[in-house]
Parts: sequence; structure tokens; C-alpha cells
Amino acid sequence: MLYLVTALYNEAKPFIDHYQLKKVPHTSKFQVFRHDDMVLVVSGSGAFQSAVATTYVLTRFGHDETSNILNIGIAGAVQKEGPYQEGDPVLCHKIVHHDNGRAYYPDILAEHRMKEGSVETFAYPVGEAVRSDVSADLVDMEGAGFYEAASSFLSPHQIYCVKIVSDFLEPSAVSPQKVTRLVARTLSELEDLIEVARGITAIHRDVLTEEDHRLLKQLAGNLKLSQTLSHQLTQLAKQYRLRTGKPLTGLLDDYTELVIESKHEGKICFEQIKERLLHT
Amino acid sequence: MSKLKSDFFIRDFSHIYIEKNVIDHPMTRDILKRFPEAVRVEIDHYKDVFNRSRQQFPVQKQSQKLILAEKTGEKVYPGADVSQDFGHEHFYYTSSILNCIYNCSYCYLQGMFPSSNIVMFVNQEDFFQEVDALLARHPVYLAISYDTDLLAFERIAPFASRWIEFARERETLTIELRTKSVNYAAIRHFQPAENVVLAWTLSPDEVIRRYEPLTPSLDMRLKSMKQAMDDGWRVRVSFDPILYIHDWQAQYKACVARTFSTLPADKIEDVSIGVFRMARDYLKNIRRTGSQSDLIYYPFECRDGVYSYPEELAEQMIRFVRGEVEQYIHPENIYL
Ligand code: SF4
Repeated sequence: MLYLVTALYNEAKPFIDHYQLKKVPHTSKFQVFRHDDMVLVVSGSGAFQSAVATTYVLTRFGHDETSNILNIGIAGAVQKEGPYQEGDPVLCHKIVHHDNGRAYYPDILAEHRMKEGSVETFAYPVGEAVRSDVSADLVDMEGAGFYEAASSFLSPHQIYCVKIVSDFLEPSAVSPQKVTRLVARTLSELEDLIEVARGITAIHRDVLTEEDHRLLKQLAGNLKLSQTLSHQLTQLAKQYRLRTGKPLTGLLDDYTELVIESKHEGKICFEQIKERLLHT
Repeated sequence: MSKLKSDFFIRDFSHIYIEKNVIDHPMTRDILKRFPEAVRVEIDHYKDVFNRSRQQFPVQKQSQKLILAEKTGEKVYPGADVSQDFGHEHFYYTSSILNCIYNCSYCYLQGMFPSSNIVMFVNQEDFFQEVDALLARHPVYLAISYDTDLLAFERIAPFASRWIEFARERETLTIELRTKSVNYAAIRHFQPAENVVLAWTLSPDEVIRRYEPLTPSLDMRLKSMKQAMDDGWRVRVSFDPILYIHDWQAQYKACVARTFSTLPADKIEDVSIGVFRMARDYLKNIRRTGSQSDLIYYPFECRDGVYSYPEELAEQMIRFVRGEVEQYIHPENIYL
């Protein structure tokens, strides 16, 4: 599953159009859009809102080691003459929660073509007046809440925080139309990032396929294996799979129809299967 | 066009996380000079990055980052039970670096550390101070390449060189530098030191190919060892861990024979032999994080909290390799 979390509908709009996301009816107070395995939630402004919406979609639609989640939204850059220009998408390698000083570090494993930087999450829009309070490159109102929630479910390499520079500490100068325009312009970079994120999590899936698991479950049932033996069977199967690269079906087919009379008989069969998985 | 696996990952050391308090340390500056392109991220404490929850060791291994930190608290530890002490009473180990650039399937680091990112403790002077304090009480035998392959990093950070220089001036200190690398060239300019033992871990090529990714071949390692011996260094050989692979007898027989046809057996310091073994919790962690090596899923047996091959098989493997080694080395110089 791939999740997108935006604070505003205007930030979400380019994705809804591009990926043809459809509104999921009767969800919650959050607007949720979906197409296949992509889910977008509009959280509303603020770290707390972002955390709740993130938690909501991850629990409602599920997550595993193949999931990825991205927070995408506009942010102010602190330095006008610095490395960032208006419209730049910035992949954040550090997210600071201004209120409590805590810092979060998403893993940056993905090859990408964006600038990088740090973002500090404030409880209010940050203008010139508080410049001296900022320790990061960018300021936003959601990043830290989003990250804290997402990291309760996912690994640091599955979480991405992308901020698009909308202003230089002049938040009131950013109209809703401008927000949509800025986000829309970064679609191609974000699309690439999404592809790479999916590629990374797809590599590290379970050693065994669903079919393997079904077969092992059936065998454990047929042979009346205890929980310990059934666990051992799974480890042996992984060992076989990785060593030979071959599927389990074919090797163990003759045991799938077997009906045994006693646990003792089951144990004997287990030893035979073990031998086969270790030495074939 | 669809992307290759390698296209997904940004290069190793693309990011360097630096503790605020060591930003100006000379070792930090030297290391940073080697990575002018790296993104630098300031951090308060290395554990803020290294100890994050839910990190995936094998995934991070595809794009390892560097963390530069200060080691506080204890820096030198008394030897653990499972390690061989080579008959030394005061056996200690220390880790200037956590984690490794190699990726051996059997490496316990995968199960011990929450992250595969590499931590370098730049305050080596504090390590030296602690060793000096121990030396004031008794002689010390110190393994300096623990929880890493120190010599493999020598061109990034010259920890091994500095340990060698440190040891040279301290007669009652003996250090062991264990490696699989062929980075001997990086320390070759030193005069051999009497109290420094260079130890190479050797495996049959089939094991290297399947279970020691990124490490140099057996021949390359032997070449480095030969050079070191010719230059006058004390060199130790380690056949550890021996792995139960198809055809293991033939593989290890050939490996031992090749070793002693390249190296002059009478000049070898000693040989250590051991089969694969790993603390129970580490193996469990490695299985949980989804190792992609068949070795990890072998039905090992747990004895006293340590997983290894079934006792009979383990003994058979040790006996066999020992028998092969004894054709070249006096039994007194073989450690099990
Ligand atoms: S060389 Fe040693 S420390 Fe490095 S991965 Fe291999 S076993 Fe682990």
C-alpha cells in the first residue's frame, strides 16, 4: 500500500487528478481518496491532525513491510538567498518538533533527484518575526506529527517527508491556487520517488510465497505437527527456498494428501521432510 | 523501462550524521574530507539515529550511512566467553567502529545492532587513555577489530594505524587486528611491531562466494598475508566459522592445502578453528528481520543460549579441519 498524507485539499488535488483517486465514502472526518493500492488522506493543518489522520489510514487500510507513506505539503524556507527556490521539492532528512525539541530521522535510502534539508514543525504559521527561533532549513506545521505517528507502524525507510517551498517566511502570501500550482509542478519528481520507494520495499518481502505458506499450513495440519515443529518446518522451507531457488511444490507434493493416524507418525514424516529440505 | 535493484538505492555513505560535540574533532574533519559530496546531518547523540525503532538491518545494508560520534562510558571490555583468548589472562576487546562494510551471512552484528549504519567513534585518544589505565595494573591483550573489520576502513579512517603506533610504545600491550580485507597495503609502511598480531579469517572460495559478499577472494587474502609475513609481521590464521555446506570436507581440505602452500607454516603465529555459533537472541533477530541467506534458516541446535550445528556434526567438522591443519602446524599452535 502507498499512502499520501497532505494537510490541505489544495495540496492533494494534483494527486487526485493524476492518479485518478476516488473519494472513499463514509470514512471519518478525514477525506480519503483511493485508487488500487494508493490511498490519500487530507488531514487538515497541524501536527496533531496529521498524526491522527496518519494513524487512521494506516490502521484502517493496513500496513506491512511493503507499505510506504509520504507526507507532501508546502513549507517556508528560512533563507531567501539559501539553497532553495520557490517550488523546489525538498526531501527531509531531519524533522524537528519545535515544541519539544525532538528530532526524527527518516532513512534516506532511495535514489532521488530532489534537494534535501531539515524541517521544523511549528504549531503556528511562521513569519519573519520568529526567524531566530528556527533551527532547520524549512518550517511547516505537520511533519513531526506525521513522522511520529507513521514511525509507530513503519520502518524509517518506509517514511518520506517531502516539503515544497512556497515562501520565505511570508505564509500569508500563499494563495490556495498557488499551493495547487506548486504541488502540481513537482509531480514528476514525486512520481519517480514513489516508484523507487515501491521498488525498495518490494525487494525485501517474505522469503516464502503465499502459496508456500498455504502448503506448509496444510502439511502442518495433515501431520498434526506441534507449534514448535511447524515453526521449524517454516525455517527449513526458507532454507530450502534460498539455497535452491526452487518452489516447495513439487518437492513436497506427496505429503499434501497424506492422512496420518498418530502424532508419532507425524514426527516420522517431519524427519523425512526435513531430510529432503536440507539435502535436496 | 523498469529499474534494476541497484538503481533504487542511493550510494553508500551518501549521508554522514555527525554528533554536534565532535564536529570540530580532527578525526571528523579528516573523515569528512574523504566524502565531499555527502549530505551532512547534525545530530545530538548517535543513538538518536542508530537506535531508532523498527530499522531494517538488511534494507539499510543496501545504502549504509556513516555516523560520527563520541564514545562515552566504558570503551574497553573484558573478553566474552565465546571468544578465543589464545592463552592470555587479560584478554580485552574494543570497538572503534560499529558495523562493517562487508555483509557476511553469518555475522552476528545483524542480530546484535538495531541498525546496519556504521558508527565511528572519533575520540580514539579516550580509548588510548583507558588502555593505559589498564596497563598500569597488568599486561593487556586487546582485540581491536571487534564488531567490525577495522582494517577494511583504513582508507576512510586510520584507526588501525593509530592503534599500531600506540602499541609500539607499550611493551606490555599486545593487539590483535583481525580482518578479511586485503588492505594490508594501508599499514605496510610501518615497521612490523613485535606486539601486534595480524589475523586473517580464511574460508573456501565457495563459502566466500555464497556467504561473505563483498569480501576479497581466498587468493587475495593469502597474498596479503604472505606479504605481511615476508615483511616480518606476526600473522595468525583463523578458519572460523566453518560452515556446513555441500561438499564441506573437500572444500575445507582444499582451502587448508591452499593456505599452507602459499604461507610458510613454520612462520605462522598460530591457527584458530571454530564452527559457526551465534547467541540465541541474535539469530532470532536475524530471522525476524528477514535474512535472505539460507544459512540463517539451518536447523541449528541451541546449547547454553548459543546456536550451532548439532553437537556430533560440529565435532566432526572441527576434527576434520583440525586434522587437515595438523599436517602443517604443531597441535600446540592450534586453538579451538
Ligand atoms: S567481516 Fe566480520 S564484521 Fe564484517 S560482516 Fe563479515 S563477519 Fe561481520
